[in-house]
Amino acid sequence: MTRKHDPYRFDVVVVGAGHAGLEAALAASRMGLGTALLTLNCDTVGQMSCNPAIGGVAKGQIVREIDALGGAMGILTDATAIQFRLLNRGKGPAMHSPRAQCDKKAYQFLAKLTVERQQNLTLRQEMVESIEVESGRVAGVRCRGGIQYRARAVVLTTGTFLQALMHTGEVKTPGGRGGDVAATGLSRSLFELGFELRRFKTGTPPRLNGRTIDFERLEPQPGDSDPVPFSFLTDRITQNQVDCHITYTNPAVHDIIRDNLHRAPMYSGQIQSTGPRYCPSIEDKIVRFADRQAHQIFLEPEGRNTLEYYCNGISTSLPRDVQEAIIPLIPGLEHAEIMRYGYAVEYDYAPPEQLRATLETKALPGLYFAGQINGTTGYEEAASQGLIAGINAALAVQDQAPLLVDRSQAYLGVLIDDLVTRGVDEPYRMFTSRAEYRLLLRHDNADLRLTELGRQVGLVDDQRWARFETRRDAIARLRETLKTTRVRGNSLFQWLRRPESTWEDLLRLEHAFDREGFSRDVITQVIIEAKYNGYIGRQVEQIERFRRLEDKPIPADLDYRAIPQLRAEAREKFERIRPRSLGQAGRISGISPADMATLLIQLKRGGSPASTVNPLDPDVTTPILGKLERQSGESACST
Amino acid sequence: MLADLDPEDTIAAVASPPGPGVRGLVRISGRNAWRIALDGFRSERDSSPPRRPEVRRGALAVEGLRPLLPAIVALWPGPRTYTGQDVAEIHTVGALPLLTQVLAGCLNRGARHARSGEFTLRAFLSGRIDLTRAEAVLGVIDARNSTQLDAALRQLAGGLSRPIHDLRDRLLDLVAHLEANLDFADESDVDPLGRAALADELQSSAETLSALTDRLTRRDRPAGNPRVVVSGPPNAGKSRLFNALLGHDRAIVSPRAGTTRDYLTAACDVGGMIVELIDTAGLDLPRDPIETQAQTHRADQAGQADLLLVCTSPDTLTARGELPHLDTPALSVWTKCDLGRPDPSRAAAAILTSAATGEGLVELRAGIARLVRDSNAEADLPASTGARCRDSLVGAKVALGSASQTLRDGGGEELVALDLRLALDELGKVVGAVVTDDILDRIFQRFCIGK
Repeated sequence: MTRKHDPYRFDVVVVGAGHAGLEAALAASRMGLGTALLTLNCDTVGQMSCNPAIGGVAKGQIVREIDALGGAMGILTDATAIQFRLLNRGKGPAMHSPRAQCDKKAYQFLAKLTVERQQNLTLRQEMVESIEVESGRVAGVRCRGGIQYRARAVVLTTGTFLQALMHTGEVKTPGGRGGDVAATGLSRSLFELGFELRRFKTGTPPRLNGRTIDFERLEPQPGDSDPVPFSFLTDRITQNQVDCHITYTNPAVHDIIRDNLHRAPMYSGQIQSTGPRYCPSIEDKIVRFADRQAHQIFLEPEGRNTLEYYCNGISTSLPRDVQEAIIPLIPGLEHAEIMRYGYAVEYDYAPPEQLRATLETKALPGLYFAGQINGTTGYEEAASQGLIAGINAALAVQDQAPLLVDRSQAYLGVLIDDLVTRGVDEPYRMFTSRAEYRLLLRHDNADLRLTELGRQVGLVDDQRWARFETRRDAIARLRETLKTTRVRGNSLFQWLRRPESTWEDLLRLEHAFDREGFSRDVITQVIIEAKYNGYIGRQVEQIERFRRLEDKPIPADLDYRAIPQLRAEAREKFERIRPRSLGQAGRISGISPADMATLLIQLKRGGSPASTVNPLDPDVTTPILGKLERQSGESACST
Repeated sequence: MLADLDPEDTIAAVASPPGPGVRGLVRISGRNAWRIALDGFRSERDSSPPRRPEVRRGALAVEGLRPLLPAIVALWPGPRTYTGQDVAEIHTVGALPLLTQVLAGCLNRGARHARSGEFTLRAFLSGRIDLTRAEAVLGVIDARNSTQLDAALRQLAGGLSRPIHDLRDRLLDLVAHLEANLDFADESDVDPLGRAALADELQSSAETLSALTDRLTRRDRPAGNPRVVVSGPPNAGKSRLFNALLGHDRAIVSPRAGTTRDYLTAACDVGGMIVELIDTAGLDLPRDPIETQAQTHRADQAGQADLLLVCTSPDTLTARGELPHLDTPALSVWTKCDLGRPDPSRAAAAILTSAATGEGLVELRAGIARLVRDSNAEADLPASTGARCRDSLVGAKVALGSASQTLRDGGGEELVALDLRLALDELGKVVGAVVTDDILDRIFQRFCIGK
């Protein structure tokens, strides 16, 4: 498909090489398409701009899903992490969430190497300034200096770089990340194409030199002794792990912050845009939870070959002198040196209702958005969108049907559906509570949910597929064995379902059953299925109901203005979102059952004409009922 | 919310007209219509599914009722039915409490309570009726949609709205706390919710729900008669009119303003239809505790009215008549017309009456009958509205029971949360749906989240 000799002609161009761009470019090129990955700086491919951690509750599940589909994030994390923890171990298996501290530089270098090694993929340093359009379709991009790239699909993953402005106190610096520049031209191009842009804000904490931290005084937080890997390709984690440390703020710190609130850009009015509530700055925490005497700070190492520490918990945009005043008041940080000051960054995003569930823009065929440009936060959220956008861009170029992952299949399905259906009013992060079917969307079964889809689109290679088949078949075999082996009237599976019974009890119960060849993860999988059995059954029923409406399509060209009975609000929302199914239409906020009934009727009207046969019409049934009454006589009135 | 309109569900509703009648019926449509109708139905015929429209006579077991209820079940195989689906009707005695029980049985066996207009919607979707008729029904759904909840609670559960809201609030807090512990395990100072505390809270919420369900049942009008409330300023002759409409002296009357302190109710025949006529204290500013109570009764009754008779008399002209409660139909009635007649320009649409001479009473009865019939035709059946509220409360209670059981069995918080959200969904049908954003809002309000 690609003319190799032309260095500016590709099937797919991906703009931005962060976590979203990386996955998009790797997916498209692995699916066989000539792909260019354009970045402001080749040295920052896959850079972790904020904290040095991957995963966490709900986010860890997303990384496992990315991996199950054939994405890169899980493999990169397993190879470069310096601490692994499975969060929520004390809770049910659906809540177990892998999290890792990564060596930032190692992660980034491996990401770059992975890109460099990838066939069909060209990494190039460019500043993209506009989107090129021909006959209503995307045709490529134009870069600084007038260079033009031609492509049939373009994926924009601009992160926080669009018209980015960093704030530290009163000081404002253009740039999307400390030490980097901002992308200035692209916003104008998007605006001229008719895209709506709005602004969000996010923040980072100061980073400290570990030589100047008194770790003796701090509480260490070690990794797990049995680390759980992110990738289904990783057998076990063998590297040594490093500790994080925990310390706390105190009333003296809070007093200084309170006295200087007027100098914080969020409070002085210098920043107007919305920041995330779940990732508040320390000044926010102190204002909103005034009665708290202390806030936790996690000191997270940025890597093995650096002493830099990330102060998770005190993200701030207060001026330098205030940051310098509060750090020494924190236990263990009395002599700590700040290496990089905290800052807030404001950036443009494009409200994601402008997208289809493929992440293609509705307005401009061939143009895809992924990551923070869609109003999300988080490496994992970005990467999963990049993967889906990259896959769909590639499928579209190949004239294949798109890959749509729904809410019942994956967190990344929940993520994309929430974005395109409900939009965002603060930077969007995934939580397990956003998923209706979270008992099924577990980290342990991500491969069972998604690897076949990854294989269908051509992203799962033979090695991954072979491993998957082995595991899937072993699980099925063990499940079957347990269900067919009966002891005292009950199957072993039924025994296992009892809240109090364990796998070891089962082994004692029935020595005869063949447990050869079942690995620990296979056994775990079947135990979870048994323990959650009744609840999983309920969720499966809910999913069947959900699917019935999800499978009822709404024509893409339905003219909502021609439905006079729709309320103005409903019409406006349907017009904007253009839901692809009845299910999606019902999830739009503010849509009532009456709106849905109107829509149902309209869809029917568009279909077959109403028949006139009407056996149960009141006019017809009344005689039948009259007859009934005569038949029943007085018998029905004798109570 | 949307799932409530799924055309594949089996739906059921009381389908006979309101008010006492000789025969009443419950209509069921959907895949399981026959099974739901025939479960608990004893007849000489076996309960095999019919191949053509068929009528079976027999008796019906109804929960809470010892003798079997004589009943007829009519079965129609789809698609040649009104809704295009399998349809069943249970015809039995027309008493509303019985029909409500029959319906409850159907819901227990897996039917969902039909939304208003839903049978018609299905009829359209299956091509059985044309667009014009479907739209007429849609208009009804639409008009009712915004006010349905308020109306339902006002009609049947006056005073219940607040406690249901409060309960929902408590459950929402509970879910937010559970979810905060699940989603922010490592990045907040959320105090863990002890299992004992959780069990207590579930138990007390379930008790509140039981109490609410009982109150709702008591509030439910036994005969389901429409409520017609006589209202107006003190001394407007309300009680005299009340007696005149009844045809006998039930209320104490006197020329003194403020004679009626309590409210009185009586069944009244208005041209072949029985309504519940309610006499209330005059609308006035209370001067003492008894009057305060009288005013509270008055407001309660007016709030639950299906129809208000707003009375004005020549000698109370200066007093302001009560503004009809939002959405409640009202009739303007001039009383004591033997003492003087209003200026025709002020009373063009009013009915002029005199309890002393009997003038206008025939017209008034006819007017009441007409308006009550109209409002019932438009509105949901009062019975089914009440039943729907009750279904939701019962559904919420079942979910809470299941949450408690999960907790006792040692199940995790994520499983308890599943049931709690189900309970919230049920309450949401009565007092507004809860979406994930509501839960997140609470989490971020209450807990300091974020590293």
